[in-house]
Amino acid sequence: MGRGINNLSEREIPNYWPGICFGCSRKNSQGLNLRFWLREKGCYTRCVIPDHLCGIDGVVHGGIITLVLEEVAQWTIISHFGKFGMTREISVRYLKPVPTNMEILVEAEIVNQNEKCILFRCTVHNSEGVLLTESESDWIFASPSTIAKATAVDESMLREFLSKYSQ
Amino acid sequence: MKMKKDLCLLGKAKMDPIAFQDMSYSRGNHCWVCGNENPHGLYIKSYWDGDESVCTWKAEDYYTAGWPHVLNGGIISGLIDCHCVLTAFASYYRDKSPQEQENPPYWFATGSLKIDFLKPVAIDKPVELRASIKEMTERKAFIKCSLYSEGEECARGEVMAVRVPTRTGPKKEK
Repeated sequence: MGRGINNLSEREIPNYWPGICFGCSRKNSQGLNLRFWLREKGCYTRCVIPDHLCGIDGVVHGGIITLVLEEVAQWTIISHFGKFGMTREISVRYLKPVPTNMEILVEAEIVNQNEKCILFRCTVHNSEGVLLTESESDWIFASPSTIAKATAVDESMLREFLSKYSQ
Repeated sequence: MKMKKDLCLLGKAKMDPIAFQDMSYSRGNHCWVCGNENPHGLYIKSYWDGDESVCTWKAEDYYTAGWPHVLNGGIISGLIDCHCVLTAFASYYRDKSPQEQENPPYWFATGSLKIDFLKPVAIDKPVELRASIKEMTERKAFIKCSLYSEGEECARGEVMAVRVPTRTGPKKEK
């Protein structure tokens, strides 16, 4: 089966995050405002990256591609496990240019997991199903208290957020 | 249009008077992170410090990760990516003639990127990137880079950059 953009589930993951994440927050006017949809072993986003976020003209910047690859992995952890993750390591292979101003499909798939960590393969495809970028990333599950300690975010807010995904 | 915002020299003496991004070989660069001519860009500036390249940059608060006080990992990746690619570019042209720098036949593009995230990076503090060339072959450059916040190493990256003809890179100014 092809990886066509029209061939996927339409069950959108609700976004209750109250912060201003550059990748996914609806409140960040400078950000990407990404939306996510569930899959059995992960999640995906369909998005159009604007021209100004380019590396060379007409090609999405590698850092922005990495950002979206990380977002789909994090939202998989949130939606499937009701937990947060922190990236330990990510490797990205830029196989073909990712065009700006055209819809792309970015998917995360869980490759392996145990109670402490989780390994993802994430991909970027264009609307014709051509693979443009692939990555492997290694994440650890992080408790709200760990996140709160590392980031100075209120722990109760983190717990309240996660409770909406663990019901 | 020529936009230059030297936002990044925050307390770090520049070791070389001209940033890689301001050299003639970088003209016409619209890259969001390292280009002088992207009106929405981050405008990083990279300089030689001996055989290392160094860049200091301070984020706007909307480049946050999910956690509001923390710099987004994708932005960190972009900074490392561009500082490394520009280091490859600057290294290639370092000993070339002014004529060749003025009409560069080659550009460098990212082939692969690997980042280790060691610690959260505070968004309200400047970061310093330090990169060096590990290996330069006929067509590829292998660059390593560390990103520091308040003197602590917070991320470590490796970039493989591929040398490509300039026609696939930035447009020359007319």
